[in-house]
This record gives sequence, structure tokens and C-alpha cells, in this order.
Amino acid sequence: MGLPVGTIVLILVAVLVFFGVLHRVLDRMRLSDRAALVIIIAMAAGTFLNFGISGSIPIRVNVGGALVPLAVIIWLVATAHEASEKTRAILSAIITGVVVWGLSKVMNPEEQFMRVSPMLLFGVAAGIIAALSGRSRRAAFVGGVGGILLSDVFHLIELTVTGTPGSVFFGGAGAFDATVIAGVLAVGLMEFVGEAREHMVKTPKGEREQD
Amino acid sequence: MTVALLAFAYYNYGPVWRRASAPGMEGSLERSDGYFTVQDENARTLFTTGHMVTVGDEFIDENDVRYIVERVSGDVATARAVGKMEALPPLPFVSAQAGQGENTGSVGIYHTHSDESYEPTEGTSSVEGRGGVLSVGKAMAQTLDEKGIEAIHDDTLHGPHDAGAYDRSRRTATQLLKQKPLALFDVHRDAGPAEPYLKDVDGNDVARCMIVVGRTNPKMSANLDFARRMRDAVNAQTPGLVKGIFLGNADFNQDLYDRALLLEVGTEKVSREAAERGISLVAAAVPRLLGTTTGQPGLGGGTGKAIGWLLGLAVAGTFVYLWIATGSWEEMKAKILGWFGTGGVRIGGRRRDGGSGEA
Repeated sequence: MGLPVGTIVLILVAVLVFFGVLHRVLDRMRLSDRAALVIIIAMAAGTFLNFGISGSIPIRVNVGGALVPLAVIIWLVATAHEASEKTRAILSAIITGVVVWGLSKVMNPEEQFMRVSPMLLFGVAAGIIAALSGRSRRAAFVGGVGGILLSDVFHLIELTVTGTPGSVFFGGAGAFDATVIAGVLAVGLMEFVGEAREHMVKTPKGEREQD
Repeated sequence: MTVALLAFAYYNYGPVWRRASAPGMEGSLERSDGYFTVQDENARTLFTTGHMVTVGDEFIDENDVRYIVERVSGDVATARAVGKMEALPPLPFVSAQAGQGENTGSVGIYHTHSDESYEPTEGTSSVEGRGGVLSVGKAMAQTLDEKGIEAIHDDTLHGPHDAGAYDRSRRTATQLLKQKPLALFDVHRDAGPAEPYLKDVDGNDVARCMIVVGRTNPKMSANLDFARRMRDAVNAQTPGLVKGIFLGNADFNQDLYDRALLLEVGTEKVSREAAERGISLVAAAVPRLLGTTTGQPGLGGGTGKAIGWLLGLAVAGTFVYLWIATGSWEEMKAKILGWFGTGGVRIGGRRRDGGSGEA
């Protein structure tokens, strides 16, 4: 199809920057550089892999957009030091999932009414809610990613309960899937809040609160 | 917090019959099942549509005259003609076999609103799970196949018809794009009276089509370029079949691809058979359309803007990355200055917290 070379280079730069941010986000959660890189490669390569679960409601699961992030958040919850953080991470995911699913119900279905593109809206909303409710980088990431995955589970439950014909697709919109946006934004917000708080209270260097 | 967020969302994005908050529509209430009539300054109807119409939306008619919506009052919008669009540049390297029916690649078809139906045929305007619009997409695919173009018709259901539909269909569109189609069509039907959307072709009622381009997406110019070429290719074969191009205040997942378009085929008041005939005639012109664009750079007139967007995003993203990587504005500044001063910077190197990355 022949995209201009300049455009290809710019797209590559944008994707690399995005992956760079994602890499940093994973790195912030006690993952080694190598582990973070492996996860990103698995997410990127996994976007080309789907598997279906047949039934009355067809379900498609994207490996890179759903399974890999799911494995990461399970690992994060399992290795959290404190029980309270585990609880907060899980609660954050549930709250985020409910709100994101709720947003799709209360908002007008016509896209022109949305002042933020749906591509961003659900990811951004999930990121903000997860950051607010998780209150730590780890819990925020679990809340953001888990919340979007849970909102799809709620969609599945809705279709089942109401008998509405439909299908459910976990992940699958690539690097800019709401799942990925939510996780990156949630941790980014925690970083931002942490920085802002540090500057406001002027904590002496080296005594910055690690949350 | 959750309740407050939901209330905020409902207030800002809630159903049209609750609150019409778009600029120029203050105080007006709209029906969820209504439609807009868009008129020019002389009260001549340009088109009717079930799409939300807001100030700043645009319409480009069959003759390439561009209108900008300046006022919306109730169900009536007034648009001012701003003149003819600049002529599309001729495309170099036009295939010598353009329009001869050769296999020029594949075309993707999907349906964000898979419930949309046609009342005269299906008895209702919405049938979850088997909307008439799926048959219209199938008719398009059949015609494309007959013309030698591989049609990938994805009939994934994205219901219910709620605010999550475009988010769900984005995943379908992304998967379709992995098959590298030459064009991607999201096939819908519009809402409103039948008459403006009907045309007589050889004694048969045929549903007309309106192309919709999202004017908030970064690839808008490229999408519009492709839409204008499509309108001209279709109307050259069947005059007046494409009513025009509506530029609405959304992106319709068209940011994914410069040749992604939304097609409105008839309204709920036309029969499904008329819609199938209409889309078949539209599809019959696609070889001509793709023949004239195959081998082109692909971004058409929107290349500059698309690059601008990407450049802006890349610069903003770089700053965010640097900020996260260094940990503070001061360190970021020092790194950037050091970059110029010493000729290198190690992004993501030292962290102030000792590198533990503690969560």
C-alpha cells in the first residue's frame, strides 16, 4: 500500500515512545528491565494471536491485548507484600470495571455526543479511577488493566442475562487498546501525583515516600 | 466517587432527549428517534440525517460544494455554502487496467451498529443479533467478489447499541486491518424519512448512500480525500447515488486507517432490498475507485496533516517518556542540557529511588 518513508518512521517513533513509557511503567513495578521487555514483546506479538471460545455468545480473546496483561496483573497481585495492597488492587479493578461498564450504559450511543473519543474515554476513565482507588502504582495498574477486562466480563454477563445476541472480544485493538491505555495512564497518574506531592511538601531528598 | 463520575458523565454525555448541550443548541431538546434537517441559507434542504448535527459540522454535496453548519435550532440546522472544494489532484501512476475488474486486493466490511434494520422489510428499526444492515454488508461483499475484489465481511455483533459499540467495533476493525485491506467500510443505515434517500434506477427503488467522515480524527483529510474519490467514482456510474459527504463531530475509528469510511445506506424507512440494491451499485464502482488509487502513497491529500499529528504526538510522547524516565522536571532538564553539552543521554538510567522500582 506504500506509505511514505517519513510517515513510517514517525509511526515507528510514536510506537517506540509509547512502548518506552509502557516499559518504564512495568519497570516501576519491581519488574526487571528484561522482564518488562519480554512482556512488551509478548503483548506486541500477541496482538496477532486470537483464540475463540464457542458457545451461545462467541468470545474472542486476544493474547497480547488480554492474556498477557491478565498474567501480569495476577503476578502483581500475587507478589504484593501487604494484604491490604492486594485487597486494594482487586477492589480498584472491580470499581473501575463497574464504572467503565456503567459509562457505556449511561452515555449517549452516538459518538458525536462524546467529547472524548471512545478509544480514549474508557481507557482514560479507567486510568483515573484506578489511580484514585488504587493509591499505589501496583494497585493502580491492576485496577486499570483489570477494570477494562472486567468491564468486558460485565458485558458478557449483560448479554447472557438479557439474552441479547452479541459477542465479546477481550483486548485486540493493539497498543492503543483501552486495556493498555488504562494501565499506563493509571501508573502515570500515580507518578504525577507522587511528584506533585513531593514538591508540595518539599520532602528532603532521599525520603520520598514510596507508594 | 463512582456515583459522582457517573453523574458527571450522564450530565455531559447523556441521552439527547435529556440535554442537548452542543454549541448552538442551547436549550433545545431532541428526540432519540428523530432526525435533523440541514438547510442552506435559502432554506433549501441539503440532507436529512439521524446523525447528531452540531455547529462546525460540514457537508460536501454531489457537486463538491462545501457547507459549514452555523446554527442548530431544534431539528433544523442551517449551513452556509463556502464554495467549491479545491479540485482533487490527479493521481500519477494510474493503473492502466483501472476499472477492468482485475483483482486489486481486499476490502474489509464490518458493522458497528449490527442491530440497525429496515422497517418495511423487518418490521422494526433494530433487531439485535440480526439487523438488516448485516445483509446489506453481505450484498456489498458479494458484488465485490463478483468484481474480482476479495471482500472480508466481518459480521461480528457489537450490540447492544450503546456507547461501548464503537469501542467494541474498534477491536474488529483493528483485526480486519491486519489483513491489509485496500479500504475499510463500516456499513450503517441512517435515520429519517425514506424519500431523500431513495432513487429510481431502471424502475427500481434504490437506497442512496451518504459517506460519513469523522472530523475529529487525525486522518480526517486523508479519509475525506478518499471519500471524495469514492463519491465521484460511484456517481460516475450511477449519478446521484452518493448524496454527499457528512463530516461529523467524532472519529468513528477512522484514525485507524486513511481509507476507512462510514457508509449510511438508506434509512430505517426504506426497504432492505432497496438498500441491498444501493450498496451493490456502490460496490460495483469500487474497482474503479481502487484502480485509480492502487499504487498510490495512500494518504492522499491528508499526508501533511497526518504527519503533523504524528510529529506532535511523538514530541509530546518523548517529553512524557523523558519525564517518567528521569523522575522530575529538574533531572529531565539536566539530562536534555547534558545531551547537548556532552553528546549523549542515558534515558531510563539512574533512578532517584535507587533503582528498586518499588511499587
